[in-house]
Amino acid sequence: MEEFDLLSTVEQGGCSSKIPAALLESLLPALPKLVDENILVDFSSHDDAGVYRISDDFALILTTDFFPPVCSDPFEFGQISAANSISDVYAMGGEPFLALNISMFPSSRIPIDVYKSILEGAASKALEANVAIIGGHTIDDFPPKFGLAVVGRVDPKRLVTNSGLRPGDKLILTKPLGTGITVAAKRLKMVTDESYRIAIQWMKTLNDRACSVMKKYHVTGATDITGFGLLGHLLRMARSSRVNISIQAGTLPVLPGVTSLVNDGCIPGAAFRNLEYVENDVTFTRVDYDLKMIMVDAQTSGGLLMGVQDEFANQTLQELTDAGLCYSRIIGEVGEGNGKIFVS
Amino acid sequence: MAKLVDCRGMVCPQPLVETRREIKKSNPGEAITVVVDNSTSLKNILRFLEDNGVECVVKQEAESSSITFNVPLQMTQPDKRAEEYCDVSPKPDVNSGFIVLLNSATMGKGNDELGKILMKGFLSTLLELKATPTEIICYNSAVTLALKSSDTAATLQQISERGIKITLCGTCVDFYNLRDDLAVGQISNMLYIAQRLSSGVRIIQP
Repeated sequence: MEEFDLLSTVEQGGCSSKIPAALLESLLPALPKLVDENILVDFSSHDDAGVYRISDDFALILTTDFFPPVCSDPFEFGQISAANSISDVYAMGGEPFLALNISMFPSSRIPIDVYKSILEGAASKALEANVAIIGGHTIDDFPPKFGLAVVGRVDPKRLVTNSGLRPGDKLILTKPLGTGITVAAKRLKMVTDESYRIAIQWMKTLNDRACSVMKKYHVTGATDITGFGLLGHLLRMARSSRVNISIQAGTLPVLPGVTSLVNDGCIPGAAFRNLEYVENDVTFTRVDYDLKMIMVDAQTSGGLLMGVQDEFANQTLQELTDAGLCYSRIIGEVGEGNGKIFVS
Repeated sequence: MAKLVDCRGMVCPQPLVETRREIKKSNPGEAITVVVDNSTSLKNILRFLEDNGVECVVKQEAESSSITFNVPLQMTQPDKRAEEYCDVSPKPDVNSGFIVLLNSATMGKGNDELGKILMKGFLSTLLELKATPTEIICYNSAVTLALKSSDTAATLQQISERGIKITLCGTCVDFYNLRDDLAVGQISNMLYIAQRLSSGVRIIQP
């Protein structure tokens, strides 16, 4: 197969392509909706996925996500996209088991083998996660887009949500920030091969290990970091958990090369959009400009952000590191409050 | 005369990159004019300059906008801290940690009574390890360890509650006809087991 660079088809990719959070929030509340006491989580709490109770100890988690290419290689795009879609189930403490492919592919403009590779990449990642892909839907469209709709299961008593942060929790982030910046830099040929490869590896990494550790320590509040950037997702959690959050910017894990890319002006548009979304509720005290922009960089297939009871925080961190998630860091803590964030 | 940075035809974040490059090349006080032809780039460059305390003058024209400013004395410098370097664990596509593979209800060859005692001890010790496995896979007579009536069921239950997956070979469960008497574990097939064993993750076999 001739090498086809998927990044040549898009100006922005991955979760960078999300509609601005504020715009979305203005639309959703007005929709008519069915009331059913078995709906445990829907979009009103801005969570990672919807949750429906089937019985006292069994609930389904439903989620979907798709986006245009975030990397050059089609197989890797399939892998990253699948890891990203499945991640929402892990973020809720669940176990993914079924999925459907959602694809848009311009069959007359790009060799069909490229599509085959995307599907193969997604299938391999799904296998790794023990997820069966049992169907899908394809539309002819340019640029290509791909993702999964995923179903997971969870014991409702052990559900982990955006609104589950408790004052006193330490916040742990399990993957390094800066995937949006790195992908933008790849398109502009500003990034070294090595830094790009590392970013790709992290985007391909499932959040399954982070989820198993999280469940061991009875975490009640977590999310995965994607298109709204670290601060966007933190703000949503702070609001729905009715707490304040403080972040120590110096502790944040960042992909290699990203700080200097930002300093060279490689700041994707999505970061500015995310900054606008959060800035009224975030107070920055002596935070380096570059680091501030990294904190709003839209992530693709980012890590889990979990609130761990103080006494288990170091142990949790150690286990995450032992599991190979070597960028895991305690980045801040949760306090009493009502939806504000303080970064210093 | 201001230095001109023509960013027409460029999309984000390239205009900002070109602007930043020109600032770094210039001396404080020098004037720079950046021309862009889309509103997003204009907005983002203005926001960037504002956040860095740089005042500017904007001129809107029919097809493009120009932003003129003087290079400030000081601008944010790259953070000089050595960048941390940490690659994903050696085999990034597999569960790190390890899988425990049990192929028998007893541990080691020799006296079966002793083998049973050893297996029971092994399972309870697993919980005390600093690095616990991600999964335990049982086949052949090892599936009987998950029987309600076995003295290992409680330990396996505890292990499972810690988030460690317990996988039982379906063929083996059916061969011994145990399907209705299992206390714990998820029944799986040979394809899954073969995939897990060949995935490159470390396998521990007591």
